[in-house]
Amino acid sequence: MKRVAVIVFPGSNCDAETLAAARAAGSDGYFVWHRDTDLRQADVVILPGGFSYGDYLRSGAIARFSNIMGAVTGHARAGGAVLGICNGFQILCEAGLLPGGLMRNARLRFLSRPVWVRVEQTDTPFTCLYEKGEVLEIPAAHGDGRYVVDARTAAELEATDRVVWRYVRDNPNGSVNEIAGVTNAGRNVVGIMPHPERRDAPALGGQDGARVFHSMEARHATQHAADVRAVDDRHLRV
Amino acid sequence: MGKHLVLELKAASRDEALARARVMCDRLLANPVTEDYDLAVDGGAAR
Repeated sequence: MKRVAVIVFPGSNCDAETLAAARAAGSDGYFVWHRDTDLRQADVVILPGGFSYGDYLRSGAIARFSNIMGAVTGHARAGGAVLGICNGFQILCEAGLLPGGLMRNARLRFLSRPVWVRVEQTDTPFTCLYEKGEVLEIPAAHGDGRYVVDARTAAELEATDRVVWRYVRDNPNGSVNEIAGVTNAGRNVVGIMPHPERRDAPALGGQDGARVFHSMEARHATQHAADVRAVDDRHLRV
Repeated sequence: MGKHLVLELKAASRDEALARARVMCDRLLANPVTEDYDLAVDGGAAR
């Protein structure tokens, strides 16, 4: 069972669903207030969606100066798993933990509808239970969702397989290369614009997002299984 | 295009005001990933 800290900023509004999704996947989830400085031995940190600090100046620009972000940055730099969803993704970009930035949607309007994303990478803590190429239907709800990076960084992200999810069918917000989610060079920090926590049970219209949270637990199991295999030569050759 | 921000601050010299404003821009007011900025010091005793 992983300890999952869901950070609550003033203006977060997806914190409860995110915590529920983590707990439904078997995690020991709990809230951490933005003024705290201690993640309480978290294995995984999730920055949920919402409108932290009213999105003043730029989405995520003020939240990244919150007390707790020092600990989040330390956790990330030490290789700990961090997931940012929607506003959480924006905060991770503002904090410099993920490349790029998120700007006003190309159509200038708030977007609130399901989008379709293809899973491009399955070697992150949040996608290891998906198959490469799977297409997921997940709700999006954002005004500033257009992922932007310079051409050189975009090429680097592609060359190093760091685009984790990509919009298919249409590009709902004008993101560069249809990017819906990315990871850092260490592949432990992940950001996604649509909301997997809003699609994790049949009662919510589907469960395409559930494995984002189950992956956090499964990765632990997989690592443990690998340790066991390493003890036994015969299994190593399989 | 973008934003136009006016800040008032007390500084001993024009250079100090400019340096402080530049730090504010780099750290918070502009996101260098998505934005460029121009900076000018105006008014007060700095003139």
